[in-house]
Amino acid sequence: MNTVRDTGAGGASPLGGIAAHSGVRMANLAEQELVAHAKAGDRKAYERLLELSTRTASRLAFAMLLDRSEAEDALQDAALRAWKRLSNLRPGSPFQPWFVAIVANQCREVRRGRWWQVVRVPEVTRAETIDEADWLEGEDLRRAVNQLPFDQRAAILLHFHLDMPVDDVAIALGISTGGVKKRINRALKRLRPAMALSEVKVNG
Amino acid sequence: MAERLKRNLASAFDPGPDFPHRLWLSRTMAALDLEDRASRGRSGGVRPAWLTPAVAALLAVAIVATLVLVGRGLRSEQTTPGKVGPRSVATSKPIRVDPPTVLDCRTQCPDEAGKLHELPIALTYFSPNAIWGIFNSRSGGPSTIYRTHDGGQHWQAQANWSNPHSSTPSTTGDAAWSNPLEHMTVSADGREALFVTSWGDLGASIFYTKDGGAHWASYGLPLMAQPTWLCHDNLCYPGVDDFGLQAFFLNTHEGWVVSKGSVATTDDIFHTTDSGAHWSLLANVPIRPGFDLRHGQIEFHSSSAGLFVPDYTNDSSVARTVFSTVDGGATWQPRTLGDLPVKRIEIKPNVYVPIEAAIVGVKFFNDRDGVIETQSVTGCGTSGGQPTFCGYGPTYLYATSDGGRNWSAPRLTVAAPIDLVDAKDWIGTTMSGLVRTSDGGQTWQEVSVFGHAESFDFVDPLDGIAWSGYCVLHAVITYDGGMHWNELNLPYQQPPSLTCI
Repeated sequence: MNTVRDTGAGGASPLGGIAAHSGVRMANLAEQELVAHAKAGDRKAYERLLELSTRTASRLAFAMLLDRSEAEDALQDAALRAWKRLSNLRPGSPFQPWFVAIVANQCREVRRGRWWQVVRVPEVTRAETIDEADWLEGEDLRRAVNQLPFDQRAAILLHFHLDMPVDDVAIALGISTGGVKKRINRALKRLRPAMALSEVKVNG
Repeated sequence: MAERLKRNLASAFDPGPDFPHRLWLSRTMAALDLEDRASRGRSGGVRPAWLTPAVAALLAVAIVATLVLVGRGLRSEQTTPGKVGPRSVATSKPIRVDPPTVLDCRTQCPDEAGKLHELPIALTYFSPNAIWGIFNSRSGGPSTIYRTHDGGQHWQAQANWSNPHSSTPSTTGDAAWSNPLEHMTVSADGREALFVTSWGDLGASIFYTKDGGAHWASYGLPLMAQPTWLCHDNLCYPGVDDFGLQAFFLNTHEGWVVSKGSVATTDDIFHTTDSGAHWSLLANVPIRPGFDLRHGQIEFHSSSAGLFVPDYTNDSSVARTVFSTVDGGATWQPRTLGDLPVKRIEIKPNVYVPIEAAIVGVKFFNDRDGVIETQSVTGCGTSGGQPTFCGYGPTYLYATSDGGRNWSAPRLTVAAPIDLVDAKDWIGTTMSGLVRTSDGGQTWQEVSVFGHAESFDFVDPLDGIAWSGYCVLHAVITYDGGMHWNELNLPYQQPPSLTCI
């Protein structure tokens, strides 16, 4: 089970090449074992599943909420919710897209109900001096993504930010791969002014 | 190009180091253990699946439940429907209720669509036990108006009509940007009811009854084009050319409809005094920057006086701006509400962003008393030298007691969203639960720890319903000001095999 890797985050598997492909297959088999154990009530197995998906899920949560604390809370709520609903995960279905969908929905709930509190603009990583133009550019992008409809925002973040294949995004959003591509293309049209992009290819 | 997009996204959405916190997983597993222990410790009995009380409050639940049973016993002796007289609101220890589970089939249940029976469109709570509900058929069948007289124990179908969009999930929320149609107006005696829908047999239509639902009339709306489905932030609603369709009914007879004008630079505003049977063109209202009657919220509190709140999401320059009319909607004058007590907030040491109030709703309780609810927004950069707003801040309320001629200074409130029952009694949610005030927001009392609900609708300080959900509606009803909630029985049953997240 130690060979299982978070293949959804970062895209490039550290195993590389053919070994990576083999690793993915092993990961799927191992993941299904973990899922089976978790469904039977094995907390350790569930913890391991979470561990494998945390990087992807946490990056999505932060991108959706732009607040570290809220993102961690949403992630935890999603983890609790997923544990309760683990029996809904169809046999053979990958855990990560299913869990990511729960995280996305949890984030959406948080966004809906958050108007009682100040949403903090995220910390700029360059701590001491702020390059005004860059900061504004990054903020412009955050705002533009933030203003996208939920499904477009989720699609663009899952595919481009988290490097999830379109097939997995489709599972996470519960729509067809064509639907994912449509949403991504619509989102890109709206992001283009902020991104100054003329063309972006969606990799299936 | 895709690489550049990825790089920019990675940079813009970098959460920084040690995220999530290295202890996140162990904390989560500890929370999971706690939840499991709590659920094992819970007592049995019939309880809505999404109301799962915390262990710490079980004893309080039992004690107060007894009190409520007594209270409801007293209620059953009341035979006259309508507004219940003043009753004291219990102030005992708040009851913890875990958040309701919001089922979202939009992303998770496409395969289950055929198993869904009906979709909620609107719920209107008229009196403590009388509720009107409008539901779409998921399978493409007719849309139906139902009514209950006994708090949901029995529902009667009142009218139905074919609906080409009945299987499309819609929202039951009442935010300013949500569908301005699909709402029910009920007369004080409960016999007259008027429902405006985008999808009647005549297109956008009005359904009207004057005999408690025994007979219904259907009238079309005076539109140049019929609505189409429009989606915004994952919510779909009908409209003509973006948001462009407004309807507001002061009562079951008098109402206004705003649609795209015959001239592109104007809005047409129509008026009826006979429940929509006949319409007259009141005015062609010119559109100008920050003012388009089809983009925002219209509220009339008399035949002549009304307010229009522009949609600030399209134009931040209209924050704190309302437009008032005294001639029934023919002409509108802008009015800017008072400044917020703070102009900027510090988001990190020595980094400030401006804060501004964007109006999200207006409500009049009579022709004099009204409240404007704002959601403050925080700046996050500049564009063309002007601040842009993208964050959310606290909620401020402005009040009037002279029909909107003068408005109070902004008053910070702890809760949002708020259901404004009357000029003094308000109920709302905070991060920690449901709170209420009986003095117009001066003081707040915690009522219960109640999870996220999209909407509340209280007919008096004690009796209310709350609901959430999209393709599957979960609704609850309270008779004690929100301390206790029972699941509201709806006129259809969801199949037990439905699985959603």
